[in-house]
Amino acid sequence: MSALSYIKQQIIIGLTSRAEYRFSFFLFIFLSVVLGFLSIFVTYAVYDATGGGVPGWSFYEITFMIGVYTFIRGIYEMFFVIRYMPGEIRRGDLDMDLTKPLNLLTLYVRFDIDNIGRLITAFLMFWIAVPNINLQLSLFNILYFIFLVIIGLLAMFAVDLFVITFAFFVTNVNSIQNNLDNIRSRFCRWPMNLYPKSMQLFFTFVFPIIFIGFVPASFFLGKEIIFAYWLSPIIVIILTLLSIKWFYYGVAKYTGTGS
Amino acid sequence: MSFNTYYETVKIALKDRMAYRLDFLVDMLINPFVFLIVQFLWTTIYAFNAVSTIQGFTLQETITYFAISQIVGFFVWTWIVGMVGEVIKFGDFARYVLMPVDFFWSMISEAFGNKLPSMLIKAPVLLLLLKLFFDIIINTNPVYLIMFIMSLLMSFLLYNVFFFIMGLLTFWQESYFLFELLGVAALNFFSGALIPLDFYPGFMKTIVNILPFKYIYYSPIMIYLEKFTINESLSILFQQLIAFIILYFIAKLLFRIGRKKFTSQGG
Amino acid sequence: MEEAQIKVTDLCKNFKTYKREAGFLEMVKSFIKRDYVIKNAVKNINFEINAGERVALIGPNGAGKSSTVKMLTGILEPTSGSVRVLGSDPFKERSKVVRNYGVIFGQKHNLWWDVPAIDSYHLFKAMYDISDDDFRKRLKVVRNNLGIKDYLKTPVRKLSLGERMRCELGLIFMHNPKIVFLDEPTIGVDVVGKKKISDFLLRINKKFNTTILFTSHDMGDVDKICKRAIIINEGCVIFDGKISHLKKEYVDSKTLHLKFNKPLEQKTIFDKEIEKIGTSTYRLIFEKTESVSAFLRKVLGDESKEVIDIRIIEADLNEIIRNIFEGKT
Repeated sequence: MSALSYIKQQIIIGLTSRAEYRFSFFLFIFLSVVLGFLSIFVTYAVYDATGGGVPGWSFYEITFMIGVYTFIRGIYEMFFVIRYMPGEIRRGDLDMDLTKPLNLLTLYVRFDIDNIGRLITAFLMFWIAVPNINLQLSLFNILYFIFLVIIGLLAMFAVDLFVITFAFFVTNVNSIQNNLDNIRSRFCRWPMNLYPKSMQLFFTFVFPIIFIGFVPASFFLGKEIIFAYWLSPIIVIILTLLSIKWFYYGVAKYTGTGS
Repeated sequence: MSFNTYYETVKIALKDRMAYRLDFLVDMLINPFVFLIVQFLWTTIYAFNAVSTIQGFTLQETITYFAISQIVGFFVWTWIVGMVGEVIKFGDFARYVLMPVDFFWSMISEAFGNKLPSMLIKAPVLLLLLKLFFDIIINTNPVYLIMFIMSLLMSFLLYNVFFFIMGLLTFWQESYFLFELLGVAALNFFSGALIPLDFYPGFMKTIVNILPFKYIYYSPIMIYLEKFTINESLSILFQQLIAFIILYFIAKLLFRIGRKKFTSQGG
Repeated sequence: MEEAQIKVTDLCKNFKTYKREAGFLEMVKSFIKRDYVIKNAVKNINFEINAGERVALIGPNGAGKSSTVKMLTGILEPTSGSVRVLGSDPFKERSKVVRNYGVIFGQKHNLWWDVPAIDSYHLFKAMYDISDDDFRKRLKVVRNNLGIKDYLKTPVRKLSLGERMRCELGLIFMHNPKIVFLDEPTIGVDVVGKKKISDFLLRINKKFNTTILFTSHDMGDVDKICKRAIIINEGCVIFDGKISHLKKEYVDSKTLHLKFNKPLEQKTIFDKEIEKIGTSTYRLIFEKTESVSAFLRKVLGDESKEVIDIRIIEADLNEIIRNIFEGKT
C-alpha cells in the first residue's frame, strides 16, 4: 500500500467531511480556542492573586509549557484517532476493521481537522509567551527541542495505546479513559518539578506524561529536570514498545473470545 | 400517575448505570489521584508566597474547595445535552408528544436516575477517601450540611436545565456538539468549578457575579465552607431557585418555538 | 485434484457467556464474582467450497452461522479445528488472506458517512493498492451495472438505504476479490435495487469466477443468487448441497391452485379437501406420496366442472427452511 496516497486520501476525507458544516465548524474551532485558554486563565488568576505563583516558573514560562503540551496533543489527535476505538469495539464495528488488509493501528491514521483549534491555541500561547521568556536559542537547542517534541508525540501514543487497550477487556472504558485523560491534562498544566520526586519518577517511567510538554519546555528554557535529557528518547521508546505489545495482547484476547 | 412515570424512569436509568460496574469503581477510586496535584500545587503556592490566606482562603479551605468541587461534579454532571440533542436530531420526540409526560421532566428524571448512584455512593466514598489521605475540612454542622445538600440539588437542576436549553438548540442547528462545547466553556469559566471565584482578577469578578453559573458550583461549595452566614446561605438557596425558575421558563418557551418550527417543516 | 479454495475441518468455537442478574442483590453480588456458562456455538463443522461457487449460508440467529463467518474472515479464533482459505489460515495470516476478501456485514459500513462515496472508493484504492488503470475500468463496470453513477458524488448519509448498499457493494469489488462475504446485503433494499444487486453478483461471478458466500434471511435472494446451501442449526451443519436438491427432497407437499368457471358448492373434489382462496379458485395440498397428475386427469375428465386455470405452486424455500428449523424434517 502506498502510505502517501493513503494519508492523502484520509486528509481529503477529513476536509470534505467538514465542508458542509462550515459555519458550525468555524464556530466550533473558535470555541475550542476559547476553551483552550481556560488553563492559561487559571494560571493567570493564580499569579494575579498570589503575586509569586509557583517557584522557578514565571507565568509566561508556564504559558509556554502549556503551549507545547497543547501543540503536541493537537498534532497527535489530529492524525491518530485511536481514542475512538473503544467506541467501535462497543458498537461491534471493529470487525469491519479486521477485514481490511491493513494493520489495525494504521487504520486509525486519519485526519481529524477539528484539532486545528488546538494548534491555533498553541500558537497563540507561543505568541504571548515567547517575547517574555528566555529561550536558550541556538541551532542545537532548536533542533533538540523539536526532537523532544517528537518524543512527546511518541509518549502520547504510548499512553493513549495503554489506555484504550482496556477496551478489549472491559466493555465500557469510558471512565478509565476519561479519568486518565483528566489526570494527564491536569498534571501537564503545571510544572512537574513541584511534585515530589517519587511522583515525577512515576510520570516518567510508568505513565510517561512528563514528556508531553514539561520536558521539551524545560529544555528550551534551560531548566533542570530530575534525569538527564538525553535519556528521554530511550525511556519513551521502551515504553512505546511495551504499550504496543500490550495492545496486541488485547487484540489477541478480543479475537479469541469474540464479541 | 405522572409522578409514578418519572419514578419508574429514575429506576430504569439507575439500573442502567449499575450495569457498568467497573466504570463506576474506576471513576470513584481514580479521582483521589487527581487530588495529588491539588495538594502539592497549593501547598507549594502557599509556602512559596509565604501567605496563610489567599483572598481569605486558608490552604485547608482551598484544598477543601477543590474536593467539594469534585463532589458537586458527581451531583450535577450528566449528558442531558446529548440526550436532548439526539431526541431532536432523530425526531424522536413524537414519542414524548404522544405520551402523557412532559419532555423536560422526563429528561430530568432520566438524568437524575443516572446520577443517583454517583450522588449516593461515589460522592460520600470520595469524601471519605479524600479525608483519609488529604487534609480537608469535614463539615459536621447539621444546619449547613442540610443547606449544602439542598444547594447541591438546586445545582443539579440548574446544570441540567441549562444543558437542556443547550440541547434544545439542536432544533436550529443539526449537531449538538457545538452547544455542548459552548455550555462547557461557559460552565468552566464562570461557575467556579476550577478555582474559587474569589481568586479571579477584578474584571472577571464582575462578569461572574452577573451570570447564573456561579450558582452551580460556587454557591454549594461556599455554603459547605461556611463562608456565608446562615441567612446569606438561605438567600443563596432562594436565588438558585429563582435562577432555575427563569431558566425553566426559557426552556419551555424554546421548546414550544422549536417544536413549531420542526413540525412546520415536516419530519 | 486441486485443493478446495475454502476448507473447514472439525471447526469448533466455544464462548463464555456471563450471567446477568436482574435483581438488586444479584447485581451487588456480581460485583465480586460472575457466574458464566460455556456455550458451544460451533460444533465440529466440516465443509469445502471451490473457487467460483455461490453458496448460501443459512441458519437462525444465534445458530453459529455468524461465528463461522467470523472464523472464515479471520476475525475470530477457532477453539479447535482448522480453517484454510487459499491455502492459508485466515486467522494466523489475516492481512495476507483478507486482501482477497470483499466483505459486507449487513448494518456495518465500509463507506465513510459524511463524504461522497467516491472518496471512500479512492481510500480503498490506496488501501488495496489498485492501479489507476484497474480502478478506472472497474469503476466503470460498477457504476453502470449497479446504476450508482449519480450517487457516488453525494455524501453517503444523504443516500437511501438501497442506494447506499449498492455503493457499498461496488466498493468491495474494486480490488477484484477472490472471495466475497455478504451478510444481509439486501436488507431494506427496494425491489429494483435488489434486482440490480443480484444481477451484478451473478455477472461478476460469471466473469471473474468470484466465490460468493451469501448469508441472508431473504430466501428469494438466496434462490436467485446461490446454487448451493449450507444450513447451520445449533452449531452443526444439517444440510450441505444444491438448493434444487433441497427443494426436491425436503418439500413434503405440493400445492395446486385450481380455478373453475364458477364457484363450487362441495367441500371436496374426489375426496380431496379444497380450500377456497378466491371466488372460484381453490387450493389443494398433495402429500409427497400422492400423485398430482392422477388427480388432474380425474378433474379434467369430469364434465360437471370446467377448469379454466391450473397452477402448481413451486416449493417455497422459506417454508422449507422454516420446516427444517422447526424440526419437521
